[in-house]
Amino acid sequence: MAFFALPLAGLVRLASWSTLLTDLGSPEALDALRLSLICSLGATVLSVALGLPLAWTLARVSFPGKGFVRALVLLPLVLPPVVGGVALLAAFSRRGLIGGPLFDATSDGGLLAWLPGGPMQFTFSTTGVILAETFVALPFFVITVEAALRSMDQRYEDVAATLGAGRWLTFRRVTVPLVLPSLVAGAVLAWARALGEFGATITFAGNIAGRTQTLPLGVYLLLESRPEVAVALSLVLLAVSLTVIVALRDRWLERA
Amino acid sequence: MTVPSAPLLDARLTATRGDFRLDVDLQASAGEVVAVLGPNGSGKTTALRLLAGLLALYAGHIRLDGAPLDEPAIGTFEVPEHRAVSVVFQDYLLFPHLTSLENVAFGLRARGLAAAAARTEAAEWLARFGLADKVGDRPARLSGGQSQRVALARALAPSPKLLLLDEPLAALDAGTRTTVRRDLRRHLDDFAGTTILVTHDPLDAIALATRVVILEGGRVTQAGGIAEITERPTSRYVADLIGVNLLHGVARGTTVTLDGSDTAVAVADHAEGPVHVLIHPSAVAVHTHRPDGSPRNQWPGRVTGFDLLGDRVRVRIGGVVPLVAEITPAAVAELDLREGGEVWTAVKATEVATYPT
Repeated sequence: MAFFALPLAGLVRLASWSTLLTDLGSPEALDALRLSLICSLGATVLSVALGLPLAWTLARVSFPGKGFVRALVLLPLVLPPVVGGVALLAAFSRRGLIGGPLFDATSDGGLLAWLPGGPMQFTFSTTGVILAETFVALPFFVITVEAALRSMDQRYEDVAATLGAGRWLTFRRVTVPLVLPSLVAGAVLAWARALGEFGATITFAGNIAGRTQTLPLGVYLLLESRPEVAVALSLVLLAVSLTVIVALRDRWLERA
Repeated sequence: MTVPSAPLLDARLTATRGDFRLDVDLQASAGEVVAVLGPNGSGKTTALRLLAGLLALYAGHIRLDGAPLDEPAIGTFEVPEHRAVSVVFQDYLLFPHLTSLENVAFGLRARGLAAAAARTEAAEWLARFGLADKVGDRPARLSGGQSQRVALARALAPSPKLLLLDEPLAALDAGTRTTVRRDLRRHLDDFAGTTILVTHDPLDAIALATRVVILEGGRVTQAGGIAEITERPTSRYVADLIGVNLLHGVARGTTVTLDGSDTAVAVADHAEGPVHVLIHPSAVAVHTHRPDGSPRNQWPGRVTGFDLLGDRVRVRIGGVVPLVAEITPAAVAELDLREGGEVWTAVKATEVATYPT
């Protein structure tokens, strides 16, 4: 108990409560807050968009190599985030597997040069942060939703089919509403994970204020120069975490 | 009476699941209600899922109104959503997030009806089922009987040719079951298509069905009208259901030699070859000593148990010829019958019915 409680108590004691609002109002803090909000929400949207079809496929379709696909999706759960960042660099940097051709295609004279925004580059960009956060957040969404899809009474889908509904209609009108609570829980989890992402982000997207410097990166950097702001931002993250736990308490805390 | 025509449903259901093998012939005409009756694990639910398209046949065929729905030999398999087949599942499975109206409208929408038209038609169905005041209620607020009616309305709304009912009354308590069964009967009478009713409750079959198919261990052990089946049971399951003694043997003239023992049973009518032997429990007399007098059929035995049935007591007697006798409680007291006690049973030859297997 003390092992969990003492550091949190220390954090609260360290905070300079009188200047909390001014600290949070400082440009560095506001920039980090704004960026974190955008990136974590972007990563959540991306996780839902990619994760929902993925979870459904894993829960409902049997195909060869399914175990391998599931292992791949869940790997970021146990992979050190820094390694994830390096892996993302290998794939999406300007010399990466996908990033290279994409950069060339969107450069002058390339096939996709007509796209707005100039040469497409993920490293050192906000898009890169969203990508890194999605990489680590996606498994949380997939694991939650796949479990829900498996444990729901699948005979409701049988009923829908006998009433003439095809797969897509059944999915939209029956499956999704029935697993909605888990879907929301998965999205909240993914969002919380994305919000706290540090390793993959700093490795892949760098630490540029206003562009890739999210809350955790800000905390890390400001701890040297302006510790009181770092602590204030830490408190924000702590408050968010507590809120998530309280919001999802029915799913975890009251199960025992 | 409708003139018998080509059956609307013509099916031979063959499927294997592990060691279990299902092989069922099933034909039914328009307007007919056929009950598939059998103990748990007899393959009833598998048969139903095959008809609905939720499982695929291993061999055989399902034809509805002449069109093949599932026929492995010609490579035809229609998915459930393309079959004119509706199912009322055992616990109804109303979509919990939709109102009664939306539940009934679901099938109409899925079959391409516009939203407004589907809602209007769904409301009409609910009104017909006496649920006009429940259109906006979610399933959680409905009673068992109401849920059953919504489920039936939802199944009938898309106008299926084949309606499948899976234990339609099993989820209800005994009190409401009688009324719901009566209402169900009325709605099935109005239904122009074929109904297949899967149940383990013989009362459902008697009250709702025109014909009964007895399914045991994946096979049809008996099929026919209810009167026919109860008059001449040929399976242990049916015999137990209607509470008669069913024995098997080989007949020569007016003597039947029972299978598994050399015991001879005297019968009144001449017969030859393998036969079923039916003895009604009320025709079995119980004595504490070997009776003298007319009955030629006398066997020693031991009382193995009692069941109370109305104002009668059914005495189970073990021995070379295991029988159930039905006597009055007074007779039980008079004979001082108790479990394990030795008795003699006697049956008159004229009380023994035989019919060929």
